[in-house]
Amino acid sequence: MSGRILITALSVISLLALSACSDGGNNRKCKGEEVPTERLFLQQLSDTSVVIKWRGAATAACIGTLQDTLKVYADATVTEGDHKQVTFTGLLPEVTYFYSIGGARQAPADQYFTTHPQPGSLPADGNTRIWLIGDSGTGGDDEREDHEGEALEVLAGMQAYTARDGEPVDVFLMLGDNAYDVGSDFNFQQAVFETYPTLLKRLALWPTIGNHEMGLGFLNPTVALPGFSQSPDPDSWIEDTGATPRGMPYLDIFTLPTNGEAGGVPSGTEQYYSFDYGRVHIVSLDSQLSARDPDQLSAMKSWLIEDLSSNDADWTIVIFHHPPYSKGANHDSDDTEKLGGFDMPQQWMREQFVPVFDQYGVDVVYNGHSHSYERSFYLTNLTGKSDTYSAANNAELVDGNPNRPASGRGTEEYRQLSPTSGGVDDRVVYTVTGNGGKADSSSGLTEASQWLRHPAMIEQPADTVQPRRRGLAVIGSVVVDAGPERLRAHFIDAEGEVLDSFTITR
Amino acid sequence: MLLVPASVALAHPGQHDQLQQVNRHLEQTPTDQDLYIQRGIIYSEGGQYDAALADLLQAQTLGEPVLVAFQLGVLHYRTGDFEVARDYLQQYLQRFPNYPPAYDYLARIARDSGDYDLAVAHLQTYFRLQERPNPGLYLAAARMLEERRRYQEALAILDQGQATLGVVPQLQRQAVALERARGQPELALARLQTLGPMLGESPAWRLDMAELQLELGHRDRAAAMIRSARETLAQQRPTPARLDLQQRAEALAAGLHQ
Ligand SMILES: [Fe+2]
Ligand SMILES: [Fe+2]
Repeated sequence: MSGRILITALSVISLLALSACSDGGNNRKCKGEEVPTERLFLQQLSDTSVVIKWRGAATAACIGTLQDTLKVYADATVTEGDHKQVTFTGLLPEVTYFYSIGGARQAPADQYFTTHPQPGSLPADGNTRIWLIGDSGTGGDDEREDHEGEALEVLAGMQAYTARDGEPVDVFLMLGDNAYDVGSDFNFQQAVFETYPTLLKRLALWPTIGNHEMGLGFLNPTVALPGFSQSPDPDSWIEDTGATPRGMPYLDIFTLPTNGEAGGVPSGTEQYYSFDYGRVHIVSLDSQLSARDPDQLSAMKSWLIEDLSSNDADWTIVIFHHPPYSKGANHDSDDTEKLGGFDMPQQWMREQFVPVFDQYGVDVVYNGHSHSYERSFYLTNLTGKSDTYSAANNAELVDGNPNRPASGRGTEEYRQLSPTSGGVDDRVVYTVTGNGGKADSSSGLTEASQWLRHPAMIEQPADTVQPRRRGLAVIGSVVVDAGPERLRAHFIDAEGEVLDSFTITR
Repeated sequence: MLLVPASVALAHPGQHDQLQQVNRHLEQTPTDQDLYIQRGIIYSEGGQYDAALADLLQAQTLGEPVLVAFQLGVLHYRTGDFEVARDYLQQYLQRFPNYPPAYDYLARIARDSGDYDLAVAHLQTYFRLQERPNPGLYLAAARMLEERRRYQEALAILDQGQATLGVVPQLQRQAVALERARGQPELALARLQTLGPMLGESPAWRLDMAELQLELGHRDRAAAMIRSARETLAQQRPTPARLDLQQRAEALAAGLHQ
């Protein structure tokens, strides 16, 4: 199975330690020039710490609150897949820090980040803005022919939307299939690092594992770079004899929390984890690897129960790749046994995890995998196939009317403590948004009459097909605004227009 | 353009793209062993086992046969031919003794054949070779031993996992249950205690503590735990899980006065 990961003795520099002692053992000065990188990104950003990670010649980073006079210098550690990284701890919540790569005293203007609010505190502006993209990894050679520029169009759509109120994104989530075709290091370079370079310098990227993240085992026709091999000889993937062969670049590229580094309960694995942003708790599950093995699934589930039992955030968001409910092209959640059980994780997540989401206060779940947009009613207790759904049993209702599932829009906003459930927080809105880099143009393996017509999904007024479907086959992404009293979710198309939205109040 | 086999039409679109890519490359280098292995893997993962076998056997003829042995082992495991699978995996390991996934599959074969000792031994090799195993694999090993009532060994594996991965609730909770199963509530309590800080002393954790404390006759400590759990629950918004905990807290509190 998967799951190798290594973090060697890390370069961890504590700013608190430094301020307590003027030279603090850190007697290297920040001076000289910025050293260019091949990729530069942030990981594990929290209220007090950050991991700065890059690939390139530079062997150090500097950080500070003044762009022109960075004061804290740290040598980098070399990590898997030819990356360098530095961990800075002892940062202050909601403070903007600038950083340079290579030890320069001045930070380039676009190299800064703002630490998270303290867990349990509202951010200064009261709102947490989250950007979610699924199946966005079309920005490289492997998909260029068919989807040239589409990931960038989705990015531009989000930017056009957020420009209207000027509020930047606080949290950046990826829903899997981030780097077509196989999640090789080269695929990641093009589809992630060269597609979102500016955002990645400013925000930590929090991913989840999709079925196109497996790296080894599939062909990389373009070029073999570190972290990927197409050879059946594992010795050829290892630089040092005796080291572990590496098959999954995802785990080399990302440095994800295993020990609750950014909040949440320690998971012991980078394959699933959680973190906090102020009063929002975010969980990333592994539906691709852990879900396919009964023991690994049960370990992940028992971790999730502990994590959610310890969580008292205003809002809880869960992400993973395989949607428990979808009538997207090829990934009909009623037809999971096809092709050797390729899509069984959809069913397993529905049967095994949906009850946990219902019982432990999860508010919204986001998935990718189907390359379209589908958004559910405010659901509870739906673990069967689509023909077991009824509004009366599973949906939040308008005035208790079993024929009127509430839309979450306008006067039909959802309430976290569901009136239909007697004032209990036992409902979840499920959204599939695997259209961050391409949108399906036909139903594929899904029966054409069923395509985008899952009954637990809401009809989409913006659909152009008659009768209107319960989904949108266009590219786009989701922006969630989570405030103290309401969570608003918007589906944004490539032009920045809102095509669907719902609100949960608390 | 190569003729695309009929089965391809049924493939998942991701697989379909991959197959097309492999086929494109096979046109240029029709005797490339890697490409046949790649296509065999795509078929094998898509449940098209005959097509997979044909490609992998073809790959054997195009280079060193042992390079195909791991994938042939996996394929035969998937089709339930355990003996053939084992032979292939062992061939591969003779050449590449440090390849952890081969031990993972050997462990599955042993487990599925009922030979738990061998399965655990293979998992131990896997743990030695794999930098950071998935926590579920330690759980798998512990469960096999638990099924045979070998609690001490099961606990040792869970502790080994936590020495590698850090203390995590998935493994420590199982260890607590094992301590209770072997009649060691003090040790269960001590283990549960270690989870307190990372679980933020959640109401669920406090009630579990209280239950063990009651079992050990520490009524005052249990009462304090129950009280604080109820106070926290009263301030939290109701979820089904919290309503269950409230009921449990009430039942435990009632038990205090018996
Ligand atoms: Fe996808
Ligand atoms: Fe996918």
